[in-house]
Amino acid sequence: MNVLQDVFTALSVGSVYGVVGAGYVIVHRITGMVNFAQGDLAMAGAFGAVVAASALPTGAAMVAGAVVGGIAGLLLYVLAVHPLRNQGLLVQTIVTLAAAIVLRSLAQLVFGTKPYALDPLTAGRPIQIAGASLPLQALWLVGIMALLYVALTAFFDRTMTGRAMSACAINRYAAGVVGINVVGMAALAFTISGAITGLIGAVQVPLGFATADFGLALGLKGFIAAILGGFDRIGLAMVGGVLVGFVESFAASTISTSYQEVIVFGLLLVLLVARPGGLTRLRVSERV
Amino acid sequence: MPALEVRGLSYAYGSMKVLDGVDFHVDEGEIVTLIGPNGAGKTTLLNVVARSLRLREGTVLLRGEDTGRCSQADMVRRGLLLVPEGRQVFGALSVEDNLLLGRYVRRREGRAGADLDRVYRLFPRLRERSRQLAGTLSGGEQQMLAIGRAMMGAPRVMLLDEPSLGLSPQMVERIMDALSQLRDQGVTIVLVEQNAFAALRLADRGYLLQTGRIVGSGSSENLAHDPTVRHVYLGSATDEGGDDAGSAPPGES
Amino acid sequence: MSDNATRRWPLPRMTRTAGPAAATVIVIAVLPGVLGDYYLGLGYTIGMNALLALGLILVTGFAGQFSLAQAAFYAIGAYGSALLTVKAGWPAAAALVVSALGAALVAYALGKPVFRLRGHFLAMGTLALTEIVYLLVNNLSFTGGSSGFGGIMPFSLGQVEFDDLRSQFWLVWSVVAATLWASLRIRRGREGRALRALRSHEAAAAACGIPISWTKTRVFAGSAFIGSIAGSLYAHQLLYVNPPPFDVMTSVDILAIAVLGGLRSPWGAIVGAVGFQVIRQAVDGVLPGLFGAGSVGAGEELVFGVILVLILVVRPDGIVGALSSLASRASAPRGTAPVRPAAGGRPAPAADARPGERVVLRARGLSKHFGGVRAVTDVDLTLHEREILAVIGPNGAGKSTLLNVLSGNLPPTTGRVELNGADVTGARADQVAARGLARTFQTPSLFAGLTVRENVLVGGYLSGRVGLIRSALPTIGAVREERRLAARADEILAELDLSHLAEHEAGHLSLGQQKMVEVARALALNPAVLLLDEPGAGLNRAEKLALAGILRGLRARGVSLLLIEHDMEFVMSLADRVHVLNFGRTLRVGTPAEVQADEDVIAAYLGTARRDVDGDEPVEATNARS
Repeated sequence: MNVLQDVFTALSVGSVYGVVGAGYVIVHRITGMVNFAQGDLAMAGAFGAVVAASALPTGAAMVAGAVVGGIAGLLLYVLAVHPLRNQGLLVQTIVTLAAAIVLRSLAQLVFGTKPYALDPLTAGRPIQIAGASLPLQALWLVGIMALLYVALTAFFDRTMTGRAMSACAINRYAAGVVGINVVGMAALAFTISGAITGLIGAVQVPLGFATADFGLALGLKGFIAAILGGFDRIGLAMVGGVLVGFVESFAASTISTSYQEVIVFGLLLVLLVARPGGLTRLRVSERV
Repeated sequence: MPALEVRGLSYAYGSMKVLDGVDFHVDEGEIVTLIGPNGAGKTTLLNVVARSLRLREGTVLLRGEDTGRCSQADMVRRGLLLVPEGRQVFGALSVEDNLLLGRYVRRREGRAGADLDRVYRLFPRLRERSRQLAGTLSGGEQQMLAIGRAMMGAPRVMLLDEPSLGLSPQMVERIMDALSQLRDQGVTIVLVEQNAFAALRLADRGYLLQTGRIVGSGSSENLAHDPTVRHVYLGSATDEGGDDAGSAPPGES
Repeated sequence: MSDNATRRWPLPRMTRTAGPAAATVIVIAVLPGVLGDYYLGLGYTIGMNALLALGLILVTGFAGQFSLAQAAFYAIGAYGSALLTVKAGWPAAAALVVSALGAALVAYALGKPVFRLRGHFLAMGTLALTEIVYLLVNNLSFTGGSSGFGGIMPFSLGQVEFDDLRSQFWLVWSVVAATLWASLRIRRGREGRALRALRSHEAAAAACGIPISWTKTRVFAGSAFIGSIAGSLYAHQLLYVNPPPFDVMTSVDILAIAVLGGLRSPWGAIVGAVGFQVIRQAVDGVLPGLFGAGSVGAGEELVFGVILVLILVVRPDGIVGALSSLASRASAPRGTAPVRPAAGGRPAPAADARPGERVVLRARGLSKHFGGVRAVTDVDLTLHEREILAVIGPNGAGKSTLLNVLSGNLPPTTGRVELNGADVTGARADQVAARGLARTFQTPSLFAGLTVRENVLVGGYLSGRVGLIRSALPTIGAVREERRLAARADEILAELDLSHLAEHEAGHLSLGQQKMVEVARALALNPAVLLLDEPGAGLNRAEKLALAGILRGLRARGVSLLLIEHDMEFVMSLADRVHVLNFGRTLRVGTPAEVQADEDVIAAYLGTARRDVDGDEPVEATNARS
């Protein structure tokens, strides 16, 4: 057992979970919904990049993955979620699950069940430190998560559109009063959420491959990250993602790789029971 | 031509009819108040005019133009700004961010500096607190912010819903002062108030609303001395069978 | 069901119970004789899916909770039965029951904490549970890992063995029929009404004394029980268990079946299971030609995913919903309910009509703050027996918040509430209701989708004790109780002159009628204290006069009333005392005449600069309305 190696693994997979978690948070803050297709948007991004890579350089292909994820998110909102706006959250949530199934099975029809690979963004050997190896692509993952944090924070705090989205999250009624198109902002939230999730899904392909069914487990782990972030804070969700990565990689090295996912999903149940407010002090509001 | 004219406006929440054929108009540069007790439908009326609620029945004309197809954002773009009941500021954002959001529909029109200055000149307190989170302001300051936010949208008509709610008398005076200055700057004002006397002191004209209908109107002077107003607000224990103006709403509901 | 039990009900109810019986007899008795093995196999699969979907409809359709755990419970039943019979040598029936109890226990352990949270947490939690169970049976050595294990004997009950397809078909459809019948009974029994009520309006359901999360937890456990039975039957049919049938896609398929058929009615499970199989057959016939032989699995999923989206967008209540709305358009009374001239309620015996000395409801130093906003501050309030106390005050004075704190719908920030001498500070709404406090709401809050009689029956929830299991079975006690509750509901409806509306859907009534039914529902709690939040709002004059008469009649019968009202004339003519709130604080308490003449009260209402009030505090109105 090599602790440093576990840390490296945790950081690289944790970055993926963290960004997916941030994707949940963006949608939830602005619409109050949980998008069950979040993990499958990452899958869509991954396959978008795989297809684009046949014509484009790897970097551009990964950007294409982000575009595919964003478009998929937007379509999900426009075609399924928005038409059900008067049906309540239960039906809206079920429809995101249905959309997840559509995405997943569509990918399976087109790409089959075999894994696809991509070249890493930077060629070169993994960095070796004290017997542990750190692939360069893992550095990209961590770097992109950090970059997304900075960019999203700047977007929500500094731009007019970002402020308008925050305004929707804080007080939807007042957002309407000042002339913000609340429906447009919800669509934008799904798009941004899909784009960052698609991007991270694409960037992780060189390490983790792309398969049609990887969205399910990824979605669950991202959800745990989002819970840890109190479903409200992008930064904390990213930290939460890394924590999930740590639990997973240490469970794999100290207990068994067969049970790593059982332990991670068990963590979700424990969190729901014991600490649904995540890392924040805020209690999750109960309905009166 | 009136700055704002409302004809035959009705509204119901499900089977609960809260507005029943309301007509009123406001001329350019006027301050008109809509007074009436709780539950009269005042807040609903403003929200329908501003399209926070859908306009289902009736006509709303802005400077003579029909606004039947306008969304809420369209109304804001046409210079009709609502200052909602209970302030509804963005508590987790700074005072300045709140103000900047007020010119969201005009975000591509030049720089915000001049607009901000105009608000800060009217409410110097907001300049001092521009970096503070809006949620930490006092009730009166939040009301200033809500009015300032509406000013940022370059209003021609401003609808205010109970700006005096929960404020001390001194603060009510300051808010009313600010409204009269706004009028001097050319803004037409519709003031919904339960605090009838404060509103009538400021306004040129008023309408009295009860259970969704206009039951009285006139100059502020006349309304202030109208016994109907007091009756509508406080009722009277003795005349149970009395059938004064408006105390018996129509049978169908 | 005995004649006695059904006689009370109007005709449609009898056909509703006769329907499943007839259908069941036909399916079970006739089909196995005429079908060949191929169709028998299909029928078996349909029955299995219907059973799983029935479990899901219980939790998602009745209680409105999105669960993806059906595959997990299915696995617990299958593996539980397999392990207990093969490795421990238990009889099949015992293994089935114990596994199902185990599944119910898992559901209970997960549901109890999670149901306190928002809905999507349960959905994700159940998804995780399904994944965990799937991974566990895949990896544990005693479940045989990914290859599973065999050696399971066919299901047997005493001497009877279900060892061929025909008898298994018979078995599974018998279980389906029994479950369907039980679900239908639950749906219109005390427990089902409670579930449908809390789905429609949680706060109002709690105010009727229904313990919200406990009720959801029990029905979730019930759905686990059914799912596990399906798993046990499956194991005894295949005689072999391995992980693939228990992955999350099974949960999704079951969801698709329930949505396709319609979540609101147990019939949706049957209709959905048939429709699902028909679509599947069609897809399997077409797809290989289009995409090649490997495409069947993914193609089916794609088709069902798309169908799920389409059904939700076009017809969220599924096939059964569409059919029943067609049927009701043809027959049932629709449109506006008949309007009758309002009666003035029972005349009150004058001698009892004065308030007594005993305090039935007392608040001391009560405050409620929302973040920094003080909606209610330091309010002392007393309500005597046989008293009508009106709480008035300008907009945003904190009236509704005060009422919500008194009724337990909101916990107070500080202070104490006593009801009939017992401390109920911080108790939940259903606990306060159980101590004799009923309430109505500011906006109409009848349970939509329930009839007027059913609404009043929900109000009688606390005077019954038949739970989920006895709701399902027509025991003598359950039947008798239901009859007693119905008689009481009819009595109340008659008293308020609402009998002619009993079979109408609550949502279709006029506002005045809805408000009256809400009073009837509150009366069904047999309350000592009744809180009314703006009972007169939106009523016309005649209706208000009728309401006042009814409230006086209640007072004469010993009920204490606290009401929030804006119509001063109404208040002044009705109330014994008036409690005036302003800025969340008590401004004045006195007789109507005193309050009406009080300068401070006039100032609070009409406004004047003379008042010296508290400083410029952040007091907001929005939170006072809940």
